[in-house]
Amino acid sequence: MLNLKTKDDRLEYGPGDTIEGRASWRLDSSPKKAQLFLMWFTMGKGDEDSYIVDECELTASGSEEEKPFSFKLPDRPYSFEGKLISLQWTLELVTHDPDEVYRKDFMLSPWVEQVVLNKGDDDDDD
Amino acid sequence: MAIQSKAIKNKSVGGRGCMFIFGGIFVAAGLGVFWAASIAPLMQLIDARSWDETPCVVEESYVETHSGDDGNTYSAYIRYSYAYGNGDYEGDQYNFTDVSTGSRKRHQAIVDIYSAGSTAVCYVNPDAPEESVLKRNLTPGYFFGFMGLLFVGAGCLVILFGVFQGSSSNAKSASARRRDPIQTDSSTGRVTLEPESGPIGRFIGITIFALIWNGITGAVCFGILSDGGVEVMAYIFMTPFVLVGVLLIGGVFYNFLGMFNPRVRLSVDRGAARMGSDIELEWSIVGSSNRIKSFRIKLEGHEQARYTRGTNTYTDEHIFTTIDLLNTSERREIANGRVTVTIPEYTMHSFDGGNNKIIWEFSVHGEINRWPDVGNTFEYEILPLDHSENR
Amino acid sequence: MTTDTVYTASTNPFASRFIDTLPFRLAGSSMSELCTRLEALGGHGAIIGPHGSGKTTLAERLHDELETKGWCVYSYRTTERGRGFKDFVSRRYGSDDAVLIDGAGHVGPFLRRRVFRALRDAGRLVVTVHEDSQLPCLYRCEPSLSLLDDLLEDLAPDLNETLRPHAHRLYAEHNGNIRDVLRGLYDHCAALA
Repeated sequence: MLNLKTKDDRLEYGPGDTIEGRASWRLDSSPKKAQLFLMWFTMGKGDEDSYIVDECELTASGSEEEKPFSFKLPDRPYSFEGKLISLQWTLELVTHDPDEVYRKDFMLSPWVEQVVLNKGDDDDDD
Repeated sequence: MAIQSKAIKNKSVGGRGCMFIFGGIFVAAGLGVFWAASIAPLMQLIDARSWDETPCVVEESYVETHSGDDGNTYSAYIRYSYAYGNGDYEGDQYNFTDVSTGSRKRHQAIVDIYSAGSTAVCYVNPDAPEESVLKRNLTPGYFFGFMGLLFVGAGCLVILFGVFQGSSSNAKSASARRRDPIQTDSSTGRVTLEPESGPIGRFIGITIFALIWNGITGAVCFGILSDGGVEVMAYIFMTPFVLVGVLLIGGVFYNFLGMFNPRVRLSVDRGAARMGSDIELEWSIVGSSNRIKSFRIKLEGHEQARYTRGTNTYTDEHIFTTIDLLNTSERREIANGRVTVTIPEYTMHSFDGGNNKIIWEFSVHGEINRWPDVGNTFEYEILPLDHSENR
Repeated sequence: MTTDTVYTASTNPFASRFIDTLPFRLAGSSMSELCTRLEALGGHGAIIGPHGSGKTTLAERLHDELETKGWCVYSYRTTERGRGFKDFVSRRYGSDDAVLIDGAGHVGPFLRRRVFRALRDAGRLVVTVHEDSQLPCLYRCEPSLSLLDDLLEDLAPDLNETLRPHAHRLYAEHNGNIRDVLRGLYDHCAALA
């Protein structure tokens, strides 16, 4: 079982902020390798895009561990929600042997909420 | 606004090479038809002008039937004998361009004129008396081969299109490899924006199609008309093809005229701008702005999503924001002007993830009476807020 | 479908992330049995079906299954061009290699000869085509309304009853191209936002 906990359980960040917290795992055996990725990915009608902005390797020496992490966030791209595309930021914790993955989504936006793209006159037809 | 979906058919591997081969085949075939059906017979006809007029006797004449997959065709076979110099010769050449066609009636008329046993006049090559011909007058049949020039023109345009497309796609591929998913920072200094597309490509495309369509339709119609007395059904069948051909010719002219439209030039006081900031947009019309009756400039934000399934690639687009900047019929305002544009603050900056993009564009449209409208789009980079001032 | 539902890109049940992870419904068979059938065919076979019937999806699942079985799998899609293709045909394939070509029918005869010459030593070769080809049929993808209904149940179980009439209409409009039907349903849901 993997887990990611951000400081103060914060999930909303502004451009240039620092996202920090603790990554933990509780597995049957010590993983050969543990990595934490800071990345964004798209969802929607198009084929997905993703981009790893930063990553760090967490030293794994036991089957149950907790490690601190800290990333400085870039100023873009913002999290946003549109009709065809939405963009989501996430922290992804990956262990190797055993292979496990855990994601913690968060928002990167200069406002308290993510951008919602909207046009004033929505259509009813496809 | 409806989501617009453009299906971009996959080009098979070596697409450019195929265009060159395809275009080359058209050029070769067109030149071949032009030579064989017109040039070579015309050269023979010119040569035959100096041949000697000689009396001859028709020995045999009948309509020959040639069986084909699409039905029978017919030709007139006339064998005649003549004396020239110290020798007796035989010939069977009616003219230099007669070919078998679907009309038996036409060839029967020729056979009736040159019936067996009748006397006639032939023209003999003095340098090679075994060569002779019955008719040496210029007829429309000698110009059939000019249809081949349509295919030559089409083939050349296909080759040119392949050259043009190859260089532009190479440029795009190179820039895509160099570019990160994130846009660069704003620059200073006035910038003239580049339009997304030009009228030349549209003109080339429709011209290629029109040449091929009208080349084939023209050849078929020529064959029908030269036969004379053909069934009404043949004319009825060909009518829609001819009508389409006429429409295509109209389309060629329409797009040709479009190439001479006034051009819109847009410039901005900087190459990219941050959300929430003001920019100064300037426009001017290059060419006769008096022809433009109404003129509109908008700033639009687009979502663009690309997906691939099977061997097809589709790009869907949705406009999420439209900001009207100018909508005027005033002549002076149309000719040139300047407007301050406030980039929305609460929106999404320009973004390129590869398959998914947020694109901002200035869209211009000018109406011209009884003439193709002026229209184009100009991409513009919108940057994120200056984050140090927020939160 | 409720009138106050807002379907944005991340909540749309027909977003690509959900469609791409749909399990392929093999009629009366399993992926393992499909691999066994491929071996019985001498290692070479074709996935046949009309546009939007799931050939690419099945090819991708087969890729994963062959990898699980220890094959070194190379997949090529004819949407790739230029350098990718040259590398693909210039590589030497051996008896431990499995090669999948998606969209083989779109490769011209001259290139197809180069491709098959390059692949003659590969242990496994699977192509996707629209019609019967020189390779024996490994699997025939046949779209149907009941398949569409199953997919609807997977993707949008809460909206199934509301969407089904529209889905069936789209199925008729797109001549059974299920991929286009699902895209049309995406647009339908997005327009409610």
